[in-house]
Amino acid sequence: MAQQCPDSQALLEAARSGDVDAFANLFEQHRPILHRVAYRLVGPNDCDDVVMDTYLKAWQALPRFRGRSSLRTWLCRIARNCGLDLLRRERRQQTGRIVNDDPDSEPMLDRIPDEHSPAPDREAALHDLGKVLQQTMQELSEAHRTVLLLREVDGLSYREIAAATGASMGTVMSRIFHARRSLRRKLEASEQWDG
Amino acid sequence: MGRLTWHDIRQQLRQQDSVPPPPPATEFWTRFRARARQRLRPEPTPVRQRARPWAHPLPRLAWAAALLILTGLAVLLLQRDPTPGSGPLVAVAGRANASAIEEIEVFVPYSSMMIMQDAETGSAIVWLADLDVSAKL
Repeated sequence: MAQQCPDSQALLEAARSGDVDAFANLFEQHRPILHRVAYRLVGPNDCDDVVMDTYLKAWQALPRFRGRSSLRTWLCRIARNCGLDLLRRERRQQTGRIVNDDPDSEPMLDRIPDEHSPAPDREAALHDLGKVLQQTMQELSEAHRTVLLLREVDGLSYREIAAATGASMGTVMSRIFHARRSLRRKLEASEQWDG
Repeated sequence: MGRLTWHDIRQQLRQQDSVPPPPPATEFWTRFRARARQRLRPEPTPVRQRARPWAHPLPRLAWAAALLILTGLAVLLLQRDPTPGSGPLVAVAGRANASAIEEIEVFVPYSSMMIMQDAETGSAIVWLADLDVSAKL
C-alpha cells in the first residue's frame, strides 16, 4: 500500500466518507500535473474537461480506492480513461479525430509549440538548439513525443506515465530510450551535441 | 558550442513547452462541488474490514484442513532424497511467470532505477536512467 503522511491519511479517510472539502484539500496538489497530463493526451481545448471528469470519477470511486498505487498514479490512470472516453465521443461526432485502443499505438494529441521562448542570453548557441530541438521533436512519433515530454518536462515517474498512457512499464522505458536516442542522433547530426 | 548535456536539453524542452496553467483553484473547486453534489456515491468500504473468507466459522475448518494437507505435503517433499530433476522442477513451477519490474525511488530529480527480473531466463536487468548526480538543478 502506498504510504501517506498522517495528515493526508486523515484527509483521505474524510474524503472517502464524503467530505468534499477534504477531497479538495487532498487532491488540489495533484491538479497542476493532472492538467499537464490531460493536455498531453487530448490537447488544449479539452484538457479542462478531462481534468474535471477525472476528479468527478475519482470522487465517486474513492470509497473503493485501496491505496495499492499512489493517488497520483491512480489519477493518471483515470485521466487516461476520461481522455479516451472524450476522444471516442468526439469521434462519434465525426470531428476528424481518430482513437485507437491499442496501447502500443495509442495516439496522443500532443501539441508542440509553434514558437519557442527567447534563448538565454548566456549562450546564443542555445537559440539554434531550440530550433533544432523543436524540429526534432516534431519528427518523433506522437507516442514517443508524449512519453518524453511527460518524463522530461512534466517530471512523471515511469509508473505514472504507464498509467497515463495505458502502456506497460517496459513499453514506456523503451519509448523513452528510443526517443532520447533519436533526439541525440539528430542533434549530433546537426552538430548541436558534444557530450 | 560547449558541452551539451541532457540538462540543457531538458531546460530547452521546458522553455519550449507551452502548456497553459490550470484554471484557478477557487473556480475549479466551485464547479466541482456543484457537479459532485449531483452524483451518487457508493458507501465507503473500510480497508481494514475487508471480507476474509477464512475467518467465517463454517469454511474455517476447510481452510485449516487444506493448510494442514499443504504443510504435510511440503514436509514430505523436503524429507525426500533429492533425485535428479525433482528439486528444480518444483522450484521452476513456483517461479513460473514471475517476471517483474520494480521501480526504485532515487532522490536525484528526473532519475530512475528499475530492476527487471525475467523468470524465463532467470536473469535480472538493472536499469539506470539519468543518474547524473552532478547535474545542475
